[in-house]
Amino acid sequence: MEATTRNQVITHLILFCSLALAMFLALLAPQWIQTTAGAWIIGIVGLVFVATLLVLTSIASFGDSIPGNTFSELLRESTLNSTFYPWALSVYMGRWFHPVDGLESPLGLFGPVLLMALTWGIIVLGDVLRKKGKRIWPWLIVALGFATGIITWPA
Amino acid sequence: MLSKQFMTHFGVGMAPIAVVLLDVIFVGPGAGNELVDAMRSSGATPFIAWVVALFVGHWFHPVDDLKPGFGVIGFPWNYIIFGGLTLLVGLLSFLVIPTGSVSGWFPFVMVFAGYATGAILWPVGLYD
Repeated sequence: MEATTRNQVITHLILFCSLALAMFLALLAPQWIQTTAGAWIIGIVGLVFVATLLVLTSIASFGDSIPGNTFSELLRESTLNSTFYPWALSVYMGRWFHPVDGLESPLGLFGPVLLMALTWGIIVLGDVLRKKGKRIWPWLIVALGFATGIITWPA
Repeated sequence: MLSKQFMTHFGVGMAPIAVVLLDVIFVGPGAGNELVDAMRSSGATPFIAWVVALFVGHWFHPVDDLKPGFGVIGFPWNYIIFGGLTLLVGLLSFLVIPTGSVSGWFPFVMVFAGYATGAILWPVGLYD
């Protein structure tokens, strides 16, 4: 097997396992967090994950001699190929940091359905534009995702 | 160790789990839970909003070859300024504003401020 193909297979395998584990956590963690002990365990594990992500990202940004190979540069480069990362992050920003306490989506149960439809649409649109040599500006995806997160899925 | 493959594998492996854990911590359905209440009512939320938006501005700013501080504020002053602003937001969030009085508008404002700061003072460039 070629090295590039092998790396792609490994990447997809890791992504699949990570998403499966994330979905498993999403199903069980809401129950765990209702107990004090469970809440602290989730809190500590969450902070460890985020801190590790930030620390390793920082190390990579200084320690890697390969040009354009830092975590941030790879993420920026990904916006040439996909709308997924800016969209996903900004939807969560809208969900977590909307302006009104106790906000509920005016769309009710249709909110998450519309969110899924828009997510599918924005990813497909990004892919179609990429094949035509164009892309949607990352800042526009962030703005749309932030507004969509607030309207369809506020916490 | 820090090859492109490693960074890609590392990112796709950790990011989904980190986001789900953060979501549960922020949103947790157990109102009355100590941790969830602390996250919602304390200064942690606006501070985390600032940090998340700072990174979003860093990665997803408007112009591919944007220079830090529009080329006027260079290294190390850009790091010093946004580091100082982060410290200021942290102090405001955790020490100055009384716990329990933080409402939704403060994290919302921090999203815009953090994004603008990340984009202007700390934009990542595309390597040619």
